[in-house]
Amino acid sequence: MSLVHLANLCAHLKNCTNVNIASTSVPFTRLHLQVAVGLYKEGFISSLQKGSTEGPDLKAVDVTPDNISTRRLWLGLKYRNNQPVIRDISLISKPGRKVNLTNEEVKALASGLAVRFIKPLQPAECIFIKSKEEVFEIQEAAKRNLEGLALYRVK
Amino acid sequence: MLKSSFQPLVGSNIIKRCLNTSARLYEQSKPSISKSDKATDKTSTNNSINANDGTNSKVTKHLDFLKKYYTPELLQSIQISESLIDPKDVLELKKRGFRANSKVAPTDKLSDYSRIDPISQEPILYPNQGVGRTPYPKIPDIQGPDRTDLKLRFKDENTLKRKEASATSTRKIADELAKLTGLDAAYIRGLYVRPIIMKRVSLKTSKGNIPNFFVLTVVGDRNGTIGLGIGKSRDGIRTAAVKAHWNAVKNLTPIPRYEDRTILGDFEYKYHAVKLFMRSAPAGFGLRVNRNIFEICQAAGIKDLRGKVYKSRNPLLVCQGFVEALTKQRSIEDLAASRGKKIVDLRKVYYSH
Repeated sequence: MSLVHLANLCAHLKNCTNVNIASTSVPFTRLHLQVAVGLYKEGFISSLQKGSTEGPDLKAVDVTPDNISTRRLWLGLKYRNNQPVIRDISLISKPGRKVNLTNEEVKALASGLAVRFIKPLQPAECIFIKSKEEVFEIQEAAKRNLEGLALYRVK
Repeated sequence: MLKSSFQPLVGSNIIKRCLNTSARLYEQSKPSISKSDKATDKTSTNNSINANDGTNSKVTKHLDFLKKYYTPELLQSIQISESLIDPKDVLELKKRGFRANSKVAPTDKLSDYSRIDPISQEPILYPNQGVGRTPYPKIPDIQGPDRTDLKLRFKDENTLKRKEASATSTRKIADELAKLTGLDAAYIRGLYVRPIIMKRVSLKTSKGNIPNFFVLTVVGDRNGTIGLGIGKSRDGIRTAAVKAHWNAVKNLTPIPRYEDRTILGDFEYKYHAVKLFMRSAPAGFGLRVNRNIFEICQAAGIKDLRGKVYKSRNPLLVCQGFVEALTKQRSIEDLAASRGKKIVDLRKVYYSH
């Protein structure tokens, strides 16, 4: 798990939405997959497909040491009324500074309060927490009384 | 006795007619002469012209007094008219004070007293009323008693001019804007208007400075609609202000608010060199913002807001930037729709039924 890779992902998505690209590919890693699934569930991306550098796979392809280098994850981006659905995506924990939240802080954030330097949740905004190798949305994390690393926020 | 005095007078038709009717009435009221000995009222010479009657010395004294100032014809007409009035009525009228109106019931049930009878009444002709002639001021129709202490004012050119000048600033603007925008004129008249920036700018020419007046006005209905307008004029600040008001009403736009009191969430907006960091506030918080933003919020009906303006605080840019940011707010329904989610207002759901 690398926050640098996550930062690259966020930057890439922002760049793509600025020029209204329909779908993009990102490196195929466990964190990327978890993040992408989270975005898909929240409705920020329209589709999520495994693929290669050429394009998304029409048929299921097993990942082998031969093709691992070419494996990519393809995300379908969403737009509405000439505006991207992902208005802003940014990291909370940076590679140089990790933000580990206690379960109290998670609940506070989920209820719209500001926690430390993290700005309060805006309407239609999501924050993702990484707790024990799994990525949860903040509301779900608060419900389950989890604590973890604040990864990124999307709106 | 009086019959001898009922002689046709020189000229006047009116008095002739009066005399004809009054003579008839006098004949009718003749038996009541003897009853009216107890007339204590000085002014009433009712049926008491009998010079032989010694008890009416007051009356005769008064009559002699009047004779000095009135012509005999006029005296006669006074006597005739007074003969028709009951002294009791006069007394009652006097008791009720100077504002009292006498109530005389129409005797002729068939006649409609609103119309002028061409035979018995002469038409009233005020002089100089012909077409193309300078008209007299309207003769006031005062129904009350003669109040010489009252001053009568007539509309002359100056007052008309002044009224017209002031009309351009409010009423005329409203009517013309109503036609232009399609909004109700009364709505336009009732808008909250606030000139935010009023300054004097100079145009530098080879021959010197030419002053120009710049006004930025915000207009709003204090309920979710605002408009910013700029007005410039060389004539003066007032003309510029009027122009700004006009332009502001033309630019009226609706803006979304949360609970009709604050903005939707927070926003960070950059407009030219102005960086706005606006935060929504809870109810009762008030407007703790830049003075120009405060004025716009007042016009818009935003009651709670907190925020800071960074880098440039140029008033014009701050105002324009803030209004732009307000219009670019996105509602939760819109955001939910773009994400494909259903939004539910828990308060409504909980408190429904």
